[in-house]
Amino acid sequence: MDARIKITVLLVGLGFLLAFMPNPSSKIFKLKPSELLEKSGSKEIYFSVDEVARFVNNEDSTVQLIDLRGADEFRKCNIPGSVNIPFDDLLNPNWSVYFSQKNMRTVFYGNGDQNANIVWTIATGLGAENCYVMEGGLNEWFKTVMLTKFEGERITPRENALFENRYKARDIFTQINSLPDSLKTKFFDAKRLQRAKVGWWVLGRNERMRDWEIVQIENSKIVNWYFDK
Amino acid sequence: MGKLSNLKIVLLVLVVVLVLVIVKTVGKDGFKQDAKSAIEAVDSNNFIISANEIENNKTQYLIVDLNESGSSRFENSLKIPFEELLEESSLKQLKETENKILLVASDISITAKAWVILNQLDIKNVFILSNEDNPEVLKYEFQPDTMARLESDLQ
Repeated sequence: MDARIKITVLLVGLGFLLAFMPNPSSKIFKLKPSELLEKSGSKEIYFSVDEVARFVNNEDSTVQLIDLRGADEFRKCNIPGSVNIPFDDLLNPNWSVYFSQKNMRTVFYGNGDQNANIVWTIATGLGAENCYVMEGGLNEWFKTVMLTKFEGERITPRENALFENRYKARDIFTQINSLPDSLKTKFFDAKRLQRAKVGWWVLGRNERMRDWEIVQIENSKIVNWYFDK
Repeated sequence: MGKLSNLKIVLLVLVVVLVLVIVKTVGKDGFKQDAKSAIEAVDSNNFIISANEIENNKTQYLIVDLNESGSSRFENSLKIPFEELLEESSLKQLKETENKILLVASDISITAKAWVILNQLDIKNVFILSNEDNPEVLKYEFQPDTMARLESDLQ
């Protein structure tokens, strides 16, 4: 038989197969249902707001906080250092880098518990590792970290450490979220430089004032920050 | 007949590819839905039933209590502890019911996770019970510190 006929039959056959194959861009869970159920039942997937406050205070670089709320809510306030991945944009391929970092612990939070748990299940089902949920969401963060006060007469060392952690995180949260958006970015840029090297660093040009923003770092601290023509 | 025998090798290749595709897609006892469907359902908010809504429409639902212990909040609810959700008998009941399925638990984090798993197993008409109309509303308002300025701290 003519080789052309054989090749034609082969290609037509493969074409039919391709047409009925699942869409490669579809996101089907990789984990088996029983594996996902077992992981879902574990209490170890949760971090309390106090634990997250400690990550913020220590600037823990092994933790990435993912804020699942919309961009408007995120702009109003968020836990310092968070990345905003709105819930409805979760499967956007642009975010895949945040779900493929095996040495990072990824902590999801929303305003409550619902969306963070849904996203945890989806991310884990799709094969992401080291995913966690901040228990209670931002509502619990406000209730516990932002608003609690010690009201007893004598404070134990454990309580002292707990409240010190909360007060420190509260200050950072309030200070960062009170800054204009342009300065928030610069603040984190400066922090990164602070960890890197000592000296004078030009952060960039301030669009509004048309001036250069410059910081001086000594002993791992920003000792000077100013604008210059 | 002779022509067909000449095509044997081509047909063999096609059959092998077909078998591989079938094994990869249908063979495993796994999830079949696209995760996008879960995101869309949550986004359109058509998977939550509030406590007020359920009061008058209990008969429409097969109420599934996912709590591990304790008496159920609803009479005639079906008790399936969360860790037994995927047992054959549990899945059979969920698949065979003609009613809508309402998941209830002491904590919305349990029902939310169970809902995703059932949604991705293509079990239709699954809802979760919420004590609030929208559990994802921020109940607090951030009060900015109007005195906070990086420059003032640093200069």
